[in-house]
Amino acid sequence: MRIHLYRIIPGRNSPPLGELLMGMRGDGLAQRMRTVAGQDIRVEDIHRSRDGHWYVDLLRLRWDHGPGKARRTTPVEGFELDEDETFAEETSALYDEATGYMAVEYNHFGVRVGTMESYFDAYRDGASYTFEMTFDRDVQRRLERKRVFRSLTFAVAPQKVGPDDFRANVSVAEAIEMGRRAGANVVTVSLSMGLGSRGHLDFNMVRNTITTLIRAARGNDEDVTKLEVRAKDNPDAPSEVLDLLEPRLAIDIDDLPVGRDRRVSRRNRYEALLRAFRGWSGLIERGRVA
Amino acid sequence: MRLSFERAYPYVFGVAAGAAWMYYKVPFAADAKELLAAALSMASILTGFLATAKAILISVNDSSVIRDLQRSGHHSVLIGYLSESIIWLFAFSIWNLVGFFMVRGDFYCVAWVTLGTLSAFSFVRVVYALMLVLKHVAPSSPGNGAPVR
Repeated sequence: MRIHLYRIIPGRNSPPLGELLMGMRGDGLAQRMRTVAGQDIRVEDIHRSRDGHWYVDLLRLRWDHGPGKARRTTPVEGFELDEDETFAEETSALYDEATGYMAVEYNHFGVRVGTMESYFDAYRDGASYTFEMTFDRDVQRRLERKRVFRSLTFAVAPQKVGPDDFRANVSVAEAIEMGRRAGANVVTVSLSMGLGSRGHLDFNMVRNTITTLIRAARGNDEDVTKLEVRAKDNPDAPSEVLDLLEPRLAIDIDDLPVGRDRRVSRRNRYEALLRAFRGWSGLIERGRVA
Repeated sequence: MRLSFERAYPYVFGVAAGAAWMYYKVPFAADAKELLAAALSMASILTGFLATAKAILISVNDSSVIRDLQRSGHHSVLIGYLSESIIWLFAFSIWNLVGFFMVRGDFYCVAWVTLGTLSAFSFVRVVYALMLVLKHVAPSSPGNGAPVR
């Protein structure tokens, strides 16, 4: 189970997330259902522990092609489901009100962080919350010391159509065509001085590019897939390669038992979140989280 | 094409067709009942097709093109096109059914042409967009963002 850490930033007129969660706790299952980007999402379980952590389990009803069941020696077959029944994918999260950080389980088929943001935004009129990705500041500090950049490599999956196009009155058909015409799914750019060269890349250009791409990555934008720089503290120092996306705070917990229903229990997922969050607490307290 | 035009053109063409019909006083088909029956069948079939199209749209919900459309705000517009088309085709079906029971005067004929044209263009609008989506959707490959739990 992979877990990421996010900082929750409420919008200007939004109540603290803890207050929203408190209100949500009083609502029934049906009242918590919201449609977000065409998906049926709801908070399945929500409670606050004695140590002040909110535990939230979100559910996505999966009306698209679902899993089948099989044995090693038999072909795959489907499940008999009622008309209003379907598969459900869970994503759990732990929110610490005191620090404003949230540990979120990553489930590829479940509720992604962008959808989670939209769900909370939709829950109460006028509410808005940003889930900001977090990074270990240590790499950031090492980057700050670099004065000579020898190479910069980054990969971006360009957003083919965005809100600006909607505001520019681009039709639906043209918006779809723009995506098709864009061609490559990932654009990789590599700038370097080359072997044997004693020069360096323009300092301001590199720093500005890094700043822009890190901001894009932190905005939970899945489009920046690589950001790496080779640099030195001074012209005579050895080169160091810094992966500026690697220090994104994430933990893999692989020892979670799977039950007879082939699911990891909610309790085990909550415990994993707590383990991960405790591991990051020290970094948060020491201000090492960016 | 601008979004504002794309949103409006089925209505513009529908009203224009009805106005032209009224202006030129075009007579309704001689064998009206056969026409009504055929139009009713076609509208019903297309309504059913759009219900299937909705399932297709849901099945590609995780594709990059749909994510882009959700991010830009176009996705809700596309869903709106689908809903509008279903509503107008259903309304056209009902109007054809009504035609079997009422005297088909000028009002009925102009409304029939307006509804028929509006339904047809709303159908074309949404099906064109869906075909573009399906052309765009590429199969996922292993190793490229493999699911992690």
